[in-house]
Amino acid sequence: MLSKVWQLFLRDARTALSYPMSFWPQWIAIPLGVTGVWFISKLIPPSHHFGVGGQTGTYFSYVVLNVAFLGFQSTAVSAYQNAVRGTQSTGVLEALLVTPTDLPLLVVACSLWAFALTAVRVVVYLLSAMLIFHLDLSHANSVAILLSLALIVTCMSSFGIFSAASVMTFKQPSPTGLVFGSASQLLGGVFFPISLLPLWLQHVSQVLPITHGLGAIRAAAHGATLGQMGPDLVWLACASLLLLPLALFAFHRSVIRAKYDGTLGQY
Amino acid sequence: MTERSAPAIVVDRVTKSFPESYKLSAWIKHHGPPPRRVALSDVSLRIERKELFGLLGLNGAGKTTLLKVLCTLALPDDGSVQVDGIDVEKNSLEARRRIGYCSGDDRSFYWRLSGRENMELFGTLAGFKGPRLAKRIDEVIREVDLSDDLDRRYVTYSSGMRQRLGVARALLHDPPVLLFDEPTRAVDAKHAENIRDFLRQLVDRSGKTIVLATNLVEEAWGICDRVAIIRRGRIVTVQSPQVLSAQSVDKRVFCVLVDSVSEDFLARMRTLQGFLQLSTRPNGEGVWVNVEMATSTATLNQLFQALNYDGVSIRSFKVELPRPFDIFVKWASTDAE
Repeated sequence: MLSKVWQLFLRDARTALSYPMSFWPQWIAIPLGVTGVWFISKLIPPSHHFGVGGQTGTYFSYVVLNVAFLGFQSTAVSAYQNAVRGTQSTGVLEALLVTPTDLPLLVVACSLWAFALTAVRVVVYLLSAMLIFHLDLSHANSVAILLSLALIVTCMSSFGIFSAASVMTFKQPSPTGLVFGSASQLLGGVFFPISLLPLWLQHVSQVLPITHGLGAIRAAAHGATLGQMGPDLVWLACASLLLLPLALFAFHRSVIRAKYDGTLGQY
Repeated sequence: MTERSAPAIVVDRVTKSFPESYKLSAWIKHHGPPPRRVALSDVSLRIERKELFGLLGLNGAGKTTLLKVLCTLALPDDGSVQVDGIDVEKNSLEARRRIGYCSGDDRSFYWRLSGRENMELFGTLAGFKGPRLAKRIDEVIREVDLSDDLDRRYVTYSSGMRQRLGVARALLHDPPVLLFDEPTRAVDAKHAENIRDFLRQLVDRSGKTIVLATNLVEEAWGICDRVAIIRRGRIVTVQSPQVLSAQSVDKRVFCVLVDSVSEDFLARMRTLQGFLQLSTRPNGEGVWVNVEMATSTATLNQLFQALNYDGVSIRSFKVELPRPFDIFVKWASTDAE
């Protein structure tokens, strides 16, 4: 099984690297993005809104952490649908589906490169912030960060797989990505704390997985223990347990439907 | 009956249809699901082990749809399909282990990867790895004569080379059943002949079962043990090419090379019992007289008697049987009983 996953990962890596003019410049853009955040943050004084557990924090550390890890949500929502759409439009989907490989394995393996690339981007983003602008992550709880990350990816992957099912059935992505992208930036506390929102919008914000995900990441980055992050992690775990089986079932049904309608390779 | 003697493929009353439209507007117009276009209608087949079985039909007859149902890419509306004793709908994964499918679509590879990288990917997905995979790739690539081009990017391959790589991919995991959809399309004459020979050898020497969908009647006649002719989703006949040819001999063309012909001579030919048609074609040695006669009533005796009437010198003589193409066209324009 691992050799299959590795080969699909290699396929995506080789394809991406075969386009050097789009692959390499993206790494230069990352420190430039961090620099922009740093200049904006100079306008905003430190506040307890940006800290964790009532402590004062800087806008720079608040936004850099949020933007960095928001990338995992974006990838989780888009990677699966991109994998399906990509293989449909290049004509390879049927060739893959006729191999003796489990469909869930294909779907997950086809999105691994996107997650790996996002992980490297996040590391480069955070390293830029640390090395150039002295972002302090010395107290970060690495285990808690990884656990939060795993839960964010699992929970948001459910929406991504729903979207892949939509591509399989309707030949176009569901509006999930657009809704989550916009809603997360506005209500998920990415660019400003949700405590600044009207109370009723704060309730809406609590329904978004990213609110809990970024809350957990920020807490872990400031050294919170797993116990202190409990509510956010439990929320993400419960949402994952509820949504992921539903998403996999929806995707399975969408493939069956496409096989009945003869639209497997259509896009 | 033991499992080994059971047919390699059993298609039992398979019906398959596709929606005529996938648009939302069609659902609104029809107040529900739009009507479906029938692609396969009540198709039943038994394909024996070690058989090279041809699927012949005009464009849109249902050949590719049938192959897709066999290889689990399409699900039938009704009926069942067993490949190597496995129900392809109930146990799709196990069925796919026993099937090699060559779609004939040159877009079914990764264009930015080399031929070898593509084969490594599909070989791994088929369950091979390490030195065994490398050895297997070399074996199948040698068979399709692509060894020198394997490390070139797929995008640089010609149409024929892509087609041959598709053939090689179908063989990678050494499945007992192989499905080929027009494997010689876009392949040059030399390599097409090599592929045909190779398919025949796969059956004769390696004991594979092959289903070959093709538009090339001569190809099917040349290598297939049996052919099924499909018309509008129905199988109109399943026979060996030899039997189909023999059954179709309801007329023969007797070709006689004579020194010269006169109007009297031609008039006498037209009075022969079973006469259908006559044509003449001069060549350097004389004139070819082609007399088409109904097989049921024509006899060579009366023909030679008529030829000898004026003491005509017969320089050469041959009998032309119906061409496979004519037989195919006849069946392909006939509805099943």
